[in-house]
Amino acid sequence: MELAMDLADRLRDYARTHPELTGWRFDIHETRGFEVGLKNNRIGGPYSAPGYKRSISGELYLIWADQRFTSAKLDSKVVDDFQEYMDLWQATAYCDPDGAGLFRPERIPTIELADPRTQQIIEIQEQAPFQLLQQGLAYLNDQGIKKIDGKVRCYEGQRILMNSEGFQLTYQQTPVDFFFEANDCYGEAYAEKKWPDEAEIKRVIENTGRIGKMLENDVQRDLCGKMQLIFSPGIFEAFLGQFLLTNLYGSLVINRQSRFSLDDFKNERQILRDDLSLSVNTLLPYRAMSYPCTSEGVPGGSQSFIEAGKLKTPILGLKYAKKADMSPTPVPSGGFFFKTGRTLGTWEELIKQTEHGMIIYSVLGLHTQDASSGHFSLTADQCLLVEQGEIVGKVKAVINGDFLGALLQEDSRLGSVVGEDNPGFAFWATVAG
Amino acid sequence: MRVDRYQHIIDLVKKLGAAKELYFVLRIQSRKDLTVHINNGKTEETSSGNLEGMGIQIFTPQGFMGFAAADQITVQLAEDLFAKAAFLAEQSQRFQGESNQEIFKLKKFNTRREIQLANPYGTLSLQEIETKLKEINNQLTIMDSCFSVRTLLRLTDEEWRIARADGTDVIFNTPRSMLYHSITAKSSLDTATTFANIPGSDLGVLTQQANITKLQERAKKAANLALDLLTAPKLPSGHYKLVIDYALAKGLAHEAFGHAAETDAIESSILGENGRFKTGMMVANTGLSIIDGPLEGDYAYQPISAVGEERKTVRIVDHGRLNAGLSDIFSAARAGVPYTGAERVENFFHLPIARMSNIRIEMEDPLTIDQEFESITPRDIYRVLIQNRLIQPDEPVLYLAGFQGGQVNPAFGDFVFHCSGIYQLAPEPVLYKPAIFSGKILSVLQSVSSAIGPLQIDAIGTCGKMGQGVPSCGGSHYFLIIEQNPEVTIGGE
Repeated sequence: MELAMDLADRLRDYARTHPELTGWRFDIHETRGFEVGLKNNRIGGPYSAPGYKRSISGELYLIWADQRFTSAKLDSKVVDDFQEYMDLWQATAYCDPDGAGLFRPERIPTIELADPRTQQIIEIQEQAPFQLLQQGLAYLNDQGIKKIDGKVRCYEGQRILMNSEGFQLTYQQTPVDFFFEANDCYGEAYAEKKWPDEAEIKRVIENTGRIGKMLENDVQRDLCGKMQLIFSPGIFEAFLGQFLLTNLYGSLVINRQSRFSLDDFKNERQILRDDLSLSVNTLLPYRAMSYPCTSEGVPGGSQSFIEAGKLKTPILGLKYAKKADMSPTPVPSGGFFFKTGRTLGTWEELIKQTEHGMIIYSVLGLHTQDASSGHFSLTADQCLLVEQGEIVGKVKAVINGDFLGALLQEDSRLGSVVGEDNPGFAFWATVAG
Repeated sequence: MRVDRYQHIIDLVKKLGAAKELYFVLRIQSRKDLTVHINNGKTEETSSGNLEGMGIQIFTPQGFMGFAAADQITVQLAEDLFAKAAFLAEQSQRFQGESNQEIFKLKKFNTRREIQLANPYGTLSLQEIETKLKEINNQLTIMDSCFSVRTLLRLTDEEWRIARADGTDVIFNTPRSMLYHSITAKSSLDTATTFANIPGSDLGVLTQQANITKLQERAKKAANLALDLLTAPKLPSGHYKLVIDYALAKGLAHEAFGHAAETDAIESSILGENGRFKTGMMVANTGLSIIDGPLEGDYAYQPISAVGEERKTVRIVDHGRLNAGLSDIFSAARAGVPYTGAERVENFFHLPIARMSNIRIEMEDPLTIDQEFESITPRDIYRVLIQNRLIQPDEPVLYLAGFQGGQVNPAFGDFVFHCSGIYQLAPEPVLYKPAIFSGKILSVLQSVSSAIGPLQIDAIGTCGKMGQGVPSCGGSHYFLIIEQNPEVTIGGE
């Protein structure tokens, strides 16, 4: 907080004597926290030793006369070495006729993001993170999992946003995440802004053990041709992120680097089946995806990007909102909601209704895929074969298909999974052994 | 160098370590970044950043560890971090954590490795940089109205100082730069994106005409490929005889062998057995070797490891035989291999793990080709293969061009990497949409039968492992030929 106030003072002083600096804003995060890992059934070894970390980071944006701007990362030395930094910021200012000014939010929503329990764990160096790893290790050992990995991270931080027009927002948050992984095959994770309750801890640990055990049972099948791929919620979210969300970013849309054009949004082009929608809500208490406003000062909130299968708005920061002549939007961060307007069956029903398919828990190479094309060609290395609605055993295959195309198909199906924001997804694709 | 000014911090941590009888490794990093981003002829953003901080790794006499790091370097903070790391090391012992005393065997080492840059930041003004970048961006955007081009210049000036309780104090810098195009071609029916880049260690990527010319040639090829991909059909999945370019060969070396040879996970690696590296196993034909090691001026250059030891050049595969692992101090003895100083960290906030630097595949007696890589077309490759009787005129052979990244699960031996496009080689080659190259670590190298051209080892990437991303680089001869193998699959329809 002190750093932010000092920086604001320095910027105000500078602007008073240098009228060419017409505006500024910054976003500073101060965090401190603790993490410890579990590798190869051992807690806190050379690669997962317990660690304490603290940092000050952030972004600065300066607005100069003649449509020149500076964009820079902030660090803890910015006040002490202010003149040196200012010289660099001046030297690296660039001209951008489309550059945006400052945003004047009418009101910033409030939201609970700081968990006293997590703050206590960090403040008095409680042993809860070690105990959480011990709990998972003991359970998974009992289940007969041979190799167990995991990690717990808990942080507390303060975010401070200020601008030259008097806007100031300060709030606390406590991001916590942990995961367990069985036999290098399957892992489950928790990531929110509060310490998990016992039910959440058990769900993650038990699912890791249950699915990890199922993936121990190899079956030999000659897989080739068309079959149903059943994406677990985690895999479905990863595909949605890679192939759908990426193509919604305003900078890519307007610069013709997205699958979709600005006209597609203005004409509300149908790109998904008419029951499907994609939205964010950044105001849910203690959620990993939540924040009260973006670094540009745009208020968080609930925002639909795709409704009834139709494009509604790109994801827009100030610059591209101005270029698109549309309103700026909240920016997805750490999660989104993909929903159907139709009756949603369960994950178990999705499997029961599958005659010949493969549940996919892991793919190799998703980040290598061309998001703009919508096509995928990947190795699915951790899968369970489903025959006549029953899980038969572990298989592996190369999978190929058109993911965005599948989201338009009437015979693509969704199934809800307890504890998950988004459903599982089943669709037709081609498979090679 | 900037890190020279922290002698007092090293002296303080030494004093604290001696007083508490605790071993330490202290890492100090100072990094400055500049990124200039041009989008379709206009400056999208210029961004600068500084990162400076320290991480202290503490070891109890029994070998239990604690770690603390912060992005500030002050005396008060060094004291606080030391106390935190010492406390956490005790906690590790209390919770029956894993101990490791190997680091106590290292001997004091002092060195200074400073690369003097020929074209440091400042050689050009920002305006000159922007003008040059816009010019090379425009050269692509005007090629076809369906093109959209992003051009990125990234300069990183990074310095390290690593000190240990045994008196070790090493200083080195790892400067790097990259000039990169992302080229999107768009029709009413389809969209395709391809990439071209040139790496270096300074502004020379933009000021040296040879570099600009090379990037232009690569970019022109990538742009034409993106355009052609809009109407390219999909390939049927299957097992094919293949030709891969040097960037894909880097992917093969990196994903298929490099990661599996990192000994920090040897207990679950396919190249380990009962926790020991399978030294001596034949994994390739006797003409093939895989080598990893730092090269000055390279994008992934790092001469000193993240615990302050010399990084060695390692022949992972030597004439077909599995020869040595990429080992860090904590796992080398356990894996039964010599210690090679392979530790790297993304920054001072991280713990060291075994990583690659520049990894390359070398074949004995490669065929010669009288052209620069950038000028070679699929038709040229077909001609060379026919002339040298490496394929029959009617034999189905695919040429995979352009590396788009990869991934591996070393525990199961599965790896993948992706290309930008696939050509069926023939007098008139046919282009197909890109598809995944997937295979098994223990069989794929056996199928590499020959190589064409000299070594080209500037294929860059960012390698992710255990939440840390570090620069990677490598390559091979211009082209490698891989015989048809039932355990190597090309995805498709």
